[in-house]
Amino acid sequence: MKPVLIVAALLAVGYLSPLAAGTVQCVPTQGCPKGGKPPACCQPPPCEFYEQIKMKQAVRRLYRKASVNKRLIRQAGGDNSEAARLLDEWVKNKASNLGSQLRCKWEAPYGYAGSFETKSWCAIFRKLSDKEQESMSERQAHEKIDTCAEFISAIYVHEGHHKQICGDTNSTERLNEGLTVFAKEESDGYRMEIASLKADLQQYWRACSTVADAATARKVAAAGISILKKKSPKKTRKMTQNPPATLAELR
Amino acid sequence: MNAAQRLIIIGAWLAALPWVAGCSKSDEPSATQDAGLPQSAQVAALQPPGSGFDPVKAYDEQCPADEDEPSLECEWLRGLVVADVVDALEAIEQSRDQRGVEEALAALDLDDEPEVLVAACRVLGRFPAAPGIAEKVTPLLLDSPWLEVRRIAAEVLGRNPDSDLAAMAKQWSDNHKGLSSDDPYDELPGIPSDYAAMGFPQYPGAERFSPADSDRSAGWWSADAPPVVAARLGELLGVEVLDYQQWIERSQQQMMTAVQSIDQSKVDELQALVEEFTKTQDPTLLERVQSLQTEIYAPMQQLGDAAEMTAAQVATPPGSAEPDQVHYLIAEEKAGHVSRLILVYRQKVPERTVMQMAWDLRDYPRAWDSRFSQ
Repeated sequence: MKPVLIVAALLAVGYLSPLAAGTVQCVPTQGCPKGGKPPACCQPPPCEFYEQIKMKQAVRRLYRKASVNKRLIRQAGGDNSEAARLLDEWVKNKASNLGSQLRCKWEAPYGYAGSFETKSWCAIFRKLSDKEQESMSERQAHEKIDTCAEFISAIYVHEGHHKQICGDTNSTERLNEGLTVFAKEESDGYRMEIASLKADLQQYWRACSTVADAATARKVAAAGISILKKKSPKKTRKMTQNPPATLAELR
Repeated sequence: MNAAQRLIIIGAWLAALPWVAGCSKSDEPSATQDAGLPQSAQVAALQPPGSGFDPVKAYDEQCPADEDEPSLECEWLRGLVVADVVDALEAIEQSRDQRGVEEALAALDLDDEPEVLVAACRVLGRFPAAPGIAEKVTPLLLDSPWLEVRRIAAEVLGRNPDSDLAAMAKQWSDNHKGLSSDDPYDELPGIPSDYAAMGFPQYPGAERFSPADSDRSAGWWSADAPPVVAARLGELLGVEVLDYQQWIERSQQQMMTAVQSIDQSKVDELQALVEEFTKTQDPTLLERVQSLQTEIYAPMQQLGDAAEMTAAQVATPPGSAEPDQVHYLIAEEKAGHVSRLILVYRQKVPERTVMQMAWDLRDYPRAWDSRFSQ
């Protein structure tokens, strides 16, 4: 039985810049001064910022979907811990092979933040290569990595969650954690990370009075809903299978 | 970051009705900026520029329909589409554009995607009287496996113009106070593991009715009329069926018993001490006065403390179940109090008879795991 690695795999590809200048603020938190206007102020966050949120939403869903868990447990011959390892491996592999699925360039100053991990002794490490990694504090990460400062803050919220659980649980318990516990811990980490990034966006909207484009949003929603419906598994719930057509029918 | 801080962030996020997806490089002004819109009316673009990768197209091309167990790659691609839909619904919500109700209602068909359902209900919550909401949200309230989906469905229906429907939604909300999750994938706790051992009777053909579930009750429904259901349960339990008036009289009798248990000699002594203190202002009398007060009111205090634990503290549909339509069956008594109680009443929408099997928390454990409690 192999230990379950607790990894915050950042779903993006890129490389580590040898001349890192540190993080930059990607989301404005101040409105324009009187007479000022974008792009001098209230510059919208870069594409990478939204991409980061969407990727993390998708990976979080993966950890929480019962159908994914079911498949992996079967694949692991019923071994819950092995199923956890398979999912961890799949996510890390996906993180390094996103390629054509990326909608942004992910280059400095909005580069790939790297892959972070909380070790069994509760220290946070950043992966440098397949064989190398280094212990890194949040302050050091801000100094060394060419990426959005908000990404680093959110990553440390995520890793902080693992660190807290690590401190509360003994290492043997963690080694034997099965897929359900592992997936829930990871999912919670991503949920906190996403909440942190969205809180940054909220500040931007407030400061810069940004409003959503409803017409485009409706088109995107309609296209997505249509394909999700088309590909949905067969329904099993009785009321949603035959929903009442009218309120009178409800009675 | 502790739970409270997380809740603050998530709460603030939800409160702001989030969304935007305008993207730009720092040296590339966005189309919006080119259009010279004033700061107060910046409009965020939805589709970011980039590689042209379209998750909808990729998902459609690579993944077959109606798969029982999709591959991980297909689950991943579906997740990317779900993220797009959730963000788009959040944008619609933020825009307050009522035309978006159409997409939100369509999204409710995706009953296996709780994040989409929550985002769609938030849109509908902006327009609770819009046509079509009750028909599609009620099944979610009654049948969705997801706790947050049910909670937000109850919120939306609680503001529906149909008062009976709103009453049912309010009953769900009242009975599930203290039960919440910030994870839309958390499932609603099912029937408690201790329930079977409690010995409540099983009504033939009864089905679960979650608005009557609470931390101390499990709800069931039947198509039979309330008097029929109550009589049958009475037979199964071998107890008398009480009507509303009889139940109230019984509760008042319990209160009277508590009042009567007050020691009259102590009351007389207290009165005498108070009179003496009024005359003498002797502070040494006060200690005995306080001690007597504590002793005299102890039974009332105990009754008050116990009230929070009683089986009768379950919510029934406000204004929906008429007093003459409610039946009470005392399934068990312990130490002078009702330990298990069955309430039988008519639910107007959907029309059915509800059986609310309730228990006293001094005698039986809470229905819900502490991880769900706020």
